[in-house]
Amino acid sequence: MKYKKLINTIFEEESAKEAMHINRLEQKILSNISQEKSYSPNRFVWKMPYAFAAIIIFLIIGTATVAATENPIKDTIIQLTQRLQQAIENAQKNGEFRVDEHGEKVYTGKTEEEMKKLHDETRDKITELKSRPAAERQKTISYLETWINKYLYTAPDMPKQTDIKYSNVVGLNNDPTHKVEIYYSQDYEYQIDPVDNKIYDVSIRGARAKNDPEETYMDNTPRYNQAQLEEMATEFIKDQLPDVDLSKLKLERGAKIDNFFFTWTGDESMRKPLKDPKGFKVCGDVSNPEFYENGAGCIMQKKSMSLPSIQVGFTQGGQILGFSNSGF
Amino acid sequence: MMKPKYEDIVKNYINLVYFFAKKSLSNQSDIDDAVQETFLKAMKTYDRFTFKSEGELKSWLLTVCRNVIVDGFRSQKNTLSIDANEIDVPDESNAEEWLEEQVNQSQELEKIKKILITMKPIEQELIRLRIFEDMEFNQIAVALSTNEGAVKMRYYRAIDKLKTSIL
Repeated sequence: MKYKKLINTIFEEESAKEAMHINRLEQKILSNISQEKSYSPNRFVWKMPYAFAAIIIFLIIGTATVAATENPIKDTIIQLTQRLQQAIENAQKNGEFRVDEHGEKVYTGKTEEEMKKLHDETRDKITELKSRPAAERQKTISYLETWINKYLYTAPDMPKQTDIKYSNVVGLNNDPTHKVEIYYSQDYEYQIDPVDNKIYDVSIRGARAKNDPEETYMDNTPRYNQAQLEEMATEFIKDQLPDVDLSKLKLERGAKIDNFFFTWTGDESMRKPLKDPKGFKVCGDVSNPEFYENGAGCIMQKKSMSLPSIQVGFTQGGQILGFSNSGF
Repeated sequence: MMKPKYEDIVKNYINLVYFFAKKSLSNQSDIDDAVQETFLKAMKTYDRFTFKSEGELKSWLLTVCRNVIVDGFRSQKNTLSIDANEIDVPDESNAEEWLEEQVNQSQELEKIKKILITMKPIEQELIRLRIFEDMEFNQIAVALSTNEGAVKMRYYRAIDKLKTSIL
């Protein structure tokens, strides 16, 4: 093999690790494009494409400038954030810096250590405050272990995903009012609703484990063709979402460098109401007039962001690249 | 070249734009936003845009992406760039020759991977655009808003670095 081909292989591997993430992004862009094509100024307050691009969704709380509230957890988070902000201001005035190879000023020496420690501590404390007690999370971890054993080992040599850790609470992409917990194992990340143990998202950690020294496992052995993988994807969905009739959804098949994706999309009639009927706040980028039209800084979004869809991705070796349930 | 429909442009070139944005931005949601905005902005002028080769199309998409990053993420200064005043190097660099040399895959793959990830983002991206995306130097120069000589010089330097580290 030539050096040139070898370098190409490295880039192909890199692409494969992010394939599921990129595929989801692609779906989102195509959906935005189709909305843009049917754009009607009377329907939307904002120019939609820019609103999408600049969207900032405030999921949980306002930031440190908010006055004291009646919610003690929120108050503690505000205090922690203010403490961090104060420390950043002090470090910027009196800390040690160096200029890196990109011309960026970065902390160095003792300041670097102290700021990293403070950032990590603040993040961990805020996560803990927003989360369920560890003993309750342990039950979800046990459930995930069972689920992983049953469904995840679709490729023959896949390493065991035994080290499951809790990460955070987030809102679902298509309904930020619906809170789910994030857990991760060696090679995967999982979004699960702790109330009913419903799994909404499973994705290979390639896109997120940028600084992880361990390589994410990928099985690209040419073992299955697209039709066989589609059958596997269908069976997988039937197990995960037995109430969903796939024949009523529109199936789109995609392939990127030996990875295959199957996306089933529902129509408008299948769009579910938000978990919290009050909706969620969506704000434009105030600093950019293109994103901040009609003087409307924030609006309450009452419907989910996209049509319901399900996506499953496999490598040609049969390894699950990801599964996502957006709205079913 | 037949003009593909815009949806196919998104499908076929999202990897190109994604990894280009990734070399400039560190936050995952910023990367995703930049990619989305690039395709939405490019869509506005796609009907009027004409191109003779795939390389020109890639170059145009990367220019849009670069502008999106510069305009929208001004707070992050490490946008991929090459100083246009850098001195040109002669064309007789043996980088291309070395790339055609035979190599033992199992021995060298991990070694090259490790060296590549320690290289500067601009060097990694030049190697990606030139070798993986098969772009011409002048097309890369347009995408990076610099001149062809500067791109050649940085690319050859990057390949030399790679070569020296392996030997």
